[in-house]
Amino acid sequence: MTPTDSGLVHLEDSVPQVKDSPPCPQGARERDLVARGIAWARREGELERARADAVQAQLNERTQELAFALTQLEAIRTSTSWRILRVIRQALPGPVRHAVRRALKVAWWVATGQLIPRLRARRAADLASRPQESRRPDTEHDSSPVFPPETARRLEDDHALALPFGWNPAIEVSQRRIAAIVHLYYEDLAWEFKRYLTNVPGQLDLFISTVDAFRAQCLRHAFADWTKGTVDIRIVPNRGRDIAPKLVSFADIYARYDYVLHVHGKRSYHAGVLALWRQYLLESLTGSRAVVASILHLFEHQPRIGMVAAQHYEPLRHWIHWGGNLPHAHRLASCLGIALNDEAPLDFPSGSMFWARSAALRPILDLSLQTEDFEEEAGGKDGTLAHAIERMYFYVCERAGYDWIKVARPEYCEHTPNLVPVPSVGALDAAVAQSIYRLAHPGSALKRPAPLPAVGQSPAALRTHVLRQALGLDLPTPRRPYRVAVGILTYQNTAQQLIRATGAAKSALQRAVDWLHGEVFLLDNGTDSSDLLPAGARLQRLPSQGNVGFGAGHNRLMQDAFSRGYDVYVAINPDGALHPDALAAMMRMIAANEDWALIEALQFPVDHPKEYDAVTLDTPWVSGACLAIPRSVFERTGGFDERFFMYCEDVDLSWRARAQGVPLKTCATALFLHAVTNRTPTEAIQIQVCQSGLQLARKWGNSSFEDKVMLDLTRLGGEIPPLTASPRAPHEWQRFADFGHGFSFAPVRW
Amino acid sequence: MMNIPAKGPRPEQIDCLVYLPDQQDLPLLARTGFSLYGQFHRPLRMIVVANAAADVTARQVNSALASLTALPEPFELHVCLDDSIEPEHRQDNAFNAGIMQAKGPYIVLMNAGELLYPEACSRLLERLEATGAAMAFSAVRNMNAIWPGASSPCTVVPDFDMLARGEVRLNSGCLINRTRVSHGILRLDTSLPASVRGSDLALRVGAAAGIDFGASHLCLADRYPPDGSDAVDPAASQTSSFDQAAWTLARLQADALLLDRRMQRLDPQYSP
Repeated sequence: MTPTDSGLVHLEDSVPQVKDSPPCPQGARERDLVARGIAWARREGELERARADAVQAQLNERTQELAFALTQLEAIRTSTSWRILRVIRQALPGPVRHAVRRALKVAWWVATGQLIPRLRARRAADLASRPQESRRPDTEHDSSPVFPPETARRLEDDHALALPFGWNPAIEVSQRRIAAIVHLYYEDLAWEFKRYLTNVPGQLDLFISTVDAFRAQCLRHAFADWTKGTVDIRIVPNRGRDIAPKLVSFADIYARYDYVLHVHGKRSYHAGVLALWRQYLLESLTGSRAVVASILHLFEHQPRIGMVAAQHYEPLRHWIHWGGNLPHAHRLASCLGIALNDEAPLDFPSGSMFWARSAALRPILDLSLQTEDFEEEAGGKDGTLAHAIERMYFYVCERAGYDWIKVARPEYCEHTPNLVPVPSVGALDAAVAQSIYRLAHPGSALKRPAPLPAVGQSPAALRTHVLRQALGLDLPTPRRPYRVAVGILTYQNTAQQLIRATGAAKSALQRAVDWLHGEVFLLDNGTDSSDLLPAGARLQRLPSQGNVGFGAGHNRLMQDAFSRGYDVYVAINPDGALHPDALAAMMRMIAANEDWALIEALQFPVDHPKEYDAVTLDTPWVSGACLAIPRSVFERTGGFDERFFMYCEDVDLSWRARAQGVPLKTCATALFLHAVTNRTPTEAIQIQVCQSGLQLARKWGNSSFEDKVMLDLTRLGGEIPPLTASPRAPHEWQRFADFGHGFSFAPVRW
Repeated sequence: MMNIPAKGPRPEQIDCLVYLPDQQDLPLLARTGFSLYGQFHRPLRMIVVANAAADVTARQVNSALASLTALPEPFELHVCLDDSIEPEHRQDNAFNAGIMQAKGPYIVLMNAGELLYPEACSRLLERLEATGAAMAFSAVRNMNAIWPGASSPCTVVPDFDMLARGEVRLNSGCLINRTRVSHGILRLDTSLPASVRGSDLALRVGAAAGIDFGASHLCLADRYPPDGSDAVDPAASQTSSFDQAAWTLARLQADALLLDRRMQRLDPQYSP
């Protein structure tokens, strides 16, 4: 029963062959063989039937066992002793009941002299029942995680105000001076922060810190059109995480403002589940005008409130403890004159983002901390002065004579109870009173008896919201539709390819008239294609200048399109076709990024294996197969580097764009049909790819990749391009280049 | 009896039968439609098969795919609604109804959301023409997430051993020449457990006219678990022991039928 060379299988071959058959005439022998085969098949069939019966019998047996167990359970529930003990069960809460039972049991064991053997037996049974990997080896090399003692409040004692409030607080903030103090280590997050900060009503002055001149320049560009107030961008040492920049570098500004917002460009790479932590905090504190207005209303009408922070992000809340920060915290507490009760339940603005009255931060500002007081940045996750200050913020607020309170967006809290709604102005006092907790006077608040079970996923509503935001699905129709030029660069394509590519592009241009309109631009890099397209096909055709290369060809088309007033240029490969809805989806995403992003379509049916974030849709580089380039990005980057004849020019453009603060996104709703599956590159293409790769490595200063590609080129018999004195990418840009994943230039998914 | 179409099929037309389980899956159907639009092969017809329980109308299907059928060189679209009411056999009844509606000599069975690579139909057709088999298989990628980009694929390479174990799936990556087999053979047997019906059909088609696994080295389709689960490991979708027993019975019955037919050819007096 083996396939033939052609892979063809005939099932007749599967008939069992009977060996040592007696000699007989051909027909009789075959009949005999076949008859035996039938008999064998029928016998096997009977056996299989018997096996199926056996399986069925086992199933019946298990069903009976289950029925018996249910009967026993019911008998217990209806027994007299169970009913008698119901009073005790209801009278005593669960933990107390368990404690009483345990105490009685221990007392009985002591009285009967069986305590030690019992404890030994329990320990042995406990060890045996633990899964192998969770047992702690008794060696000094034990690396299993050790959780610090639980210090957070019980969930049932932990309240937060639900935001936004149930009415629209028409907050009068014109008399208040408000500042946002923002630390942005990752300058590419500037656009996201800008979007959130515009939700603050009235004037808002920005104080932004970053760690070098290059990042500062990107931030200046991002906030150049900030009209709600002043923008002060400062370069600070990369020390003390976001805390030192906010408390030390901007210590001079607090006195000038009534309220301050502390936020920073947090990226939590150390745990995937925390990837949306930043967005959660920003949504909770600045997610909409109504959210911010509610918080400001709280400050205005509750003068004792000094600080407003987000309720803990659910995937993080089982880590709410002192960690390794207690020694630092004790030192800090003694400086602040705070009696730190490390036995009392702890709470703090996890993530160190919050709104505050300036006065509520005065105690820590008065310490006049210096940057040198903070540890050198070592990439450590815990155990620094910055982490201790994060845990002390609420203590500081109380020390200043204020209360603090937590807030939450109910839609982003799937497993958090006690979100206190504030449906009306009149309900605010009661809601605040219910939600206030004082660290210095914990009262009857108890610590959690045990760590909470981990929440393994970010809230679904938050993921959906961030994704919708990234795709621009929540945007209104633009004031005027985008003028879109779809550019096709042909090279010896077939008529079928060109008819599809141009026809599909036109279809996509006409699909969402509120969002876009435009034309198809075409340039022949190979032979003249005008005969291949139907007469009367309306295209903007540029005169060919021969094969000038991919980047140069598209640059020509782009220059022409932008000079005619087009807003966006979309480069598409001639061997593909746009989905009718693709351009509209890409324009939405461009609008979501305020025309400042490079947007690639998703290649279809097999998308490019390089990774992209499934929620934010960020990607390390964008493919030129179907790429939308807004005018502003073209003007900033100059388009493709024409020294790349073919291949890698899109990677180079992507890295240059990222270095200049342009977000790169994959538009997962824009499909671009691209027939590249099962396509084996010819040797000439492999050589071309290597030559471009070599150029990329030289431009971006990666000698090891250069050496590797030179070897490949030599092996392929390709010509090694001579070293030229062409300009290299600036040194500060080189962190955006990724040569660690070969020609994928990014981690790949498969 | 060979299933020779009565009228009007264009030469080498491929009918792609796409099962739509529910109205909610119309966006997935549109993705499948776009992958069919991308096929190099023409003429191509997309037959959307759905059960009455899917609560979907032909108008809705046409509307969901209208933008694709307006593109240059589109595929032809046909909707086939099956009104059988057995809930556990909806998909296969719908496929059986769709098979009856097929006009072209070749058919592909797919679920909404599954994608064929642009060269899939052409490559499989080449195999059938080269080998004379009635059915050609390629490798497929099992994906665990359609949206967006979080999938980790697992490639499944079908071969005769998989068929013998009853683990072959017909959806995507398989082209059938329906002119080479009779109506009676070319239908999914709903008396069998659902997990082995595809293998049963493949076995019967193979018994009649041969199966080609020569394109198994090529991955030509992406397949998604219909239940939206994350099962990409073929081992995870293994059938239960009861299903396996039923499958073995079906396989042996197919063997017996095959042998009966040979006996009848040898001895007209033979009665099974």
